[in-house]
Amino acid sequence: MKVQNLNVNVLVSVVVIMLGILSGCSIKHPQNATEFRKELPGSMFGKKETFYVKRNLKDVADSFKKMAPKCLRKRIQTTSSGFMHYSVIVTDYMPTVVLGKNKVELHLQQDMSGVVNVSKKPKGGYYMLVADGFGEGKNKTKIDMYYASVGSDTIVKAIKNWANGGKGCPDLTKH
Amino acid sequence: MSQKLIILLSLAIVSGGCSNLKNYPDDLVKNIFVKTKTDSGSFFSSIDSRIDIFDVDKACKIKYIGTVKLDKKKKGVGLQNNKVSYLDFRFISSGFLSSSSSSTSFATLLKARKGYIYDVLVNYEDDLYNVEIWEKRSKREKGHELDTIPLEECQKL
Repeated sequence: MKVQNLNVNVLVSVVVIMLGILSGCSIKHPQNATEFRKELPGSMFGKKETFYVKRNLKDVADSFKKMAPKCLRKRIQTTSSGFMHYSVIVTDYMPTVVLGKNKVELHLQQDMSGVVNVSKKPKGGYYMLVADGFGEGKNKTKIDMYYASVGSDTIVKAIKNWANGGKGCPDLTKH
Repeated sequence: MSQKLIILLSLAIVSGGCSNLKNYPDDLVKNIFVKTKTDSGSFFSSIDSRIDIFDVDKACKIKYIGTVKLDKKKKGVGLQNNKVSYLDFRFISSGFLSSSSSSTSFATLLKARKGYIYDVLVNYEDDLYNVEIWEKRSKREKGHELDTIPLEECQKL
């Protein structure tokens, strides 16, 4: 997958890195989903959002299991050029769906090559989004989403869509 | 030769040489029917879509065969039966007032079976895209949706 003359991935990368820097005034990034949930809401660009869908947890989990690998296991190449500069950044997105007791988790990590990592990078890349679904009765699921408030719009829209039973992959060149 | 003509010829050569795309051959019985709907969501940008079609050999190496440009019309495409093909659906967005463009793609393997036809629904709207491939025996039948098969799983086919 190739992107030309677009810098949105770089923007997201910067925000993800800034989240780590600003949250603790030291360069340390969450190393797992638990740390991400804990550290993100207190950071400048971090956001936690809760919403409910009228579907049972199994259906929501099935949607996540089907759509996440189909839509989010991607490699994006960003080429940026201008006066006296030319850069190529390759970003690998890695989604993980974890099923628990009355719970489903969707984690999304991104791993960039062509950039300098300023802190220890978790296996699979830096965490950029976590969505937790909790069953609340026969036909209701609560979703908690943790993500960067800048640069995640398209991915968040797609995941909300999946939770509601919709289809559609986010265009990862748009944020 | 006038200077203007030389410039025009040069532009034509450059434009032609910039793209390595070629039309997918139209010599097989059509068994794939593609219905496309795209909307960039903005007056100032547009979305073009196409399918790049590749042959896949026994070692799972791909070889580019050709491209089918998609538009609002339903397109019929002929894939060789019982042979694995790699279909790369590509969405290219570009702005009218800028030189920037971006592309995103969705790819899957498909082994067209003799006696079956395939309805492909391609959609790009509001920065979300979706591609569905439905296998069925006749046009009347609804059929069933095929799973996406990445190239890495080609040995399974």
